[in-house]
Amino acid sequence: MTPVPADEDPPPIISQEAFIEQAITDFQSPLIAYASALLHDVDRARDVVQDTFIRLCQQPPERVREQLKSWLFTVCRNRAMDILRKERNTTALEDVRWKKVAGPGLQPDESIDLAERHAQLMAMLERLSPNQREVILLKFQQGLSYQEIHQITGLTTTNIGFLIHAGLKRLRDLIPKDPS
Amino acid sequence: MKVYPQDPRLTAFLLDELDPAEAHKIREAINTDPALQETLAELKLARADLAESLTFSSSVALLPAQREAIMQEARSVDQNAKITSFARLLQGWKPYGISLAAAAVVALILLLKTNPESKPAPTALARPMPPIPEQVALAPPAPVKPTALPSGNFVNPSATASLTVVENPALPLPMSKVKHGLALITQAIRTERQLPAAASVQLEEILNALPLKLNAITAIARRPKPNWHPDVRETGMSAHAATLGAETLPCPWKPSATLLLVSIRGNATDACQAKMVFHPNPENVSRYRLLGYSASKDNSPAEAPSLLEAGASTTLAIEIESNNSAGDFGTLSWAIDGQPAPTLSVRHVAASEPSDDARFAALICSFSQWLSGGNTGLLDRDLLAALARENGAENLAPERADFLALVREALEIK
Repeated sequence: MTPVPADEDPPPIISQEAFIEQAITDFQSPLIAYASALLHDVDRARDVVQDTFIRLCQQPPERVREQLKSWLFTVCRNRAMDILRKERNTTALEDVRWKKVAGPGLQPDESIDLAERHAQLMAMLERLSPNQREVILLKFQQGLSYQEIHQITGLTTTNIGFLIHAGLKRLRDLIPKDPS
Repeated sequence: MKVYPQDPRLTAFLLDELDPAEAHKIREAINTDPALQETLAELKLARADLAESLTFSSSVALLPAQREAIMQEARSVDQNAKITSFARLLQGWKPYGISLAAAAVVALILLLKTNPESKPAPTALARPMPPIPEQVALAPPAPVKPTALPSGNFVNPSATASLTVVENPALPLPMSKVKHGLALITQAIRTERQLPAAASVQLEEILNALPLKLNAITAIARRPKPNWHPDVRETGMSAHAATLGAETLPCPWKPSATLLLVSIRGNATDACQAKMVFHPNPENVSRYRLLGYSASKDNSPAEAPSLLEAGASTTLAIEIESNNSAGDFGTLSWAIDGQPAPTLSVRHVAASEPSDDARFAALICSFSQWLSGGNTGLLDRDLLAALARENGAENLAPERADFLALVREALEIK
């Protein structure tokens, strides 16, 4: 008897609750890191990410499952941008300080060292244009492809390539050269 | 092909973003050009710096309360989906109901024809179609769908889960009449020294037990009054029928949401029928939820109660999930005794300072939801205590001071 191909089975139906639970497990940390970088504040980043997942609850899983990652980052970005727009009039950019997202399993001195390097790099990223900074974060912090960045930001892949290239070169100019 | 150090394809090559053919061309160019090799080396160093510093921690997670708020929302959506499916099932039966009724008519004709004692029905086929059975006709009417149909009670369609604007573009708003809710919870907390049963907490009754005057955008309904003229104001004759106001403020238990407070106050001497409908703006509002009214009494499921007694007021609270932090959240259309009144626009200004009464209303909503264990997002004892502290003041009205004391006493109960 010829076995029935497995791909003829209907896709498993999972509840919204299970779908959301899995999405939180998979994406909460990357989203918080991304929102932290945009907002410079882990607590507010958590609020934005909570809001993002609440919005996800309102979507039928079958509508977003295929492009879940892009969907989440897009919504997260939009919410963070809303907050930034709202605060632009009240908070001077110079007053903003990056809040460090502490690394796991590090010894105190390692953690301090990493925190310092992180702070230095973030200060340099601040000197890039907002577009450059954002695509670099999405590429190097989140490991997204140009295509995924295009879906999130609406920038063309050509533009993204140019921004990342110019941003990397600018960063390289800013980062002190290792004498060794 | 000539490639220059400024060419972004160099970075794309480094990041594996080129298709194989183009990657091959770039690789060949790099192999033959020392300047490109130097640029590539610099790019590699920048990439390494970024990769090291931007590696985020896998331990950064949502707070437990935030995670629980999300899961609560997911569960409520699951529950709503089941109800929607039931409603669709009813709708799905509607055509079958018509067909069955038609079949019944035909069967009746045949029966009458075969019964010699019965008179034939000469115009049987021209008879009007029998009415659709009631259960079938009760498929949820647009735009508001009842979530359940308990016998004889008005049901808030958003009592258990927020509504999507796409599926629910309008929500009739009920008038509140029964105001014993605060007395009941006071008795439980102060006399029985226990928190009241969740099901006994009626948010709308507690909200309307204390007088609130919002710092609101208002609209006034006037009724035709013969002989009325501005000069006769002093005589007590008035054409004023009711005043409607709306104020927004950040939702205390859900940072992403806005709390819309709607207050309607009737004429001091005449009762009226007040009908009010909220039309959320789909461009700015994604979901919304009328707080309370989970099972108010003496009303039919089809219609929101509309009696506004003389001098009485009703305050309603609507939790709004918005796409934007500010803007046009929709309109409130209303009518007094069948006469349309000026539509009120609901605009939320993110930076505006809410009135003291709106803050107090938000505290009442928070407290009621905490007691009822509803969809309360971040709400816990700490947040509630903080909200109560924020509302404290030296010159507080006695009934408000008493309410704050009640909140404190409730928080002390284990």
